Amino acid sequence: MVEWTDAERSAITGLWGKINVDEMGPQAFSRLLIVAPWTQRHFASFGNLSSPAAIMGNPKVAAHGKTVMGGLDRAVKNLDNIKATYAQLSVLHSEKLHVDPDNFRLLADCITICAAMKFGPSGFTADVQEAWQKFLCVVASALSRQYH
Amino acid sequence: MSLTAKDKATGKAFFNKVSPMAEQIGEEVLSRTLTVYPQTKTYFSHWKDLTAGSAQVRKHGLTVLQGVLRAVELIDNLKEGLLNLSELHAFILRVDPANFKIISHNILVVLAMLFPDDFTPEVHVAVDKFLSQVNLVLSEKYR
Repeated sequence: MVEWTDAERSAITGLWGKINVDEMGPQAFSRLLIVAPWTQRHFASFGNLSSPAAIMGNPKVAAHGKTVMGGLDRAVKNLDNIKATYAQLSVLHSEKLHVDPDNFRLLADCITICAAMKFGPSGFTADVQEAWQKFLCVVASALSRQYH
Repeated sequence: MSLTAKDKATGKAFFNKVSPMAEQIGEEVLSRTLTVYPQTKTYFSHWKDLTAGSAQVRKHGLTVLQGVLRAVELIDNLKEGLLNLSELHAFILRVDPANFKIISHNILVVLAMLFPDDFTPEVHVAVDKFLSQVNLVLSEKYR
């Protein structure tokens, strides 16, 4: 069972409340495809991914970024039960999508960087970063749980 | 994942721009490393004050950042240029190389945080690749 301190809970829900999912989802996801281009392997059907500009302007990339953030919303709303909340999503990523779990860590890092850019030193303090990264680590772990 | 000419140019230009803020960057990087990854405190058990913003954290953060800036200057020959630093880390400091990744991650976060308009995805990938090369060279002498 994951133990959250009150400070961590409030940092995570507080940050999430300020995040514009429709903005950050596409930003984080396009950053992933640019910074770690091997992750493009799952998105052959997305059309033009040939340059950073193409990726950042690609509507399918943007849509998928929003989908991923929607998944994170469920985790924020179920902080004490992320593992169970993500059981089916985990099976989906393993059995159907065949995503290497290391990719979850890569995307989490991109989301963290987008949050740092958005909220700056006063909004994204070291303590907020600690809570946020712990949260994303739990999410990644839950997503990898059903792999076999 | 070696550095292309474009990576080097992008990296150099970006670090030139951010170097005046080296002290603040270094302090944030080290504070976040100690806070978000508390196991890293084991390397500083001889310090009196490990809290963010303390004199020792500020001083050492700057030392680390200056090492990175030096590496930027030596970007065309990291292996030979950073030889002494590699020996220092391997034989004297004996920092587990896994921690290089931790510091690199926090460098990326702090650069993004302090320079949101400049830390584009293209700059991000160039800096990430550069830091990965630095980490590789720093681990060179370990065994």
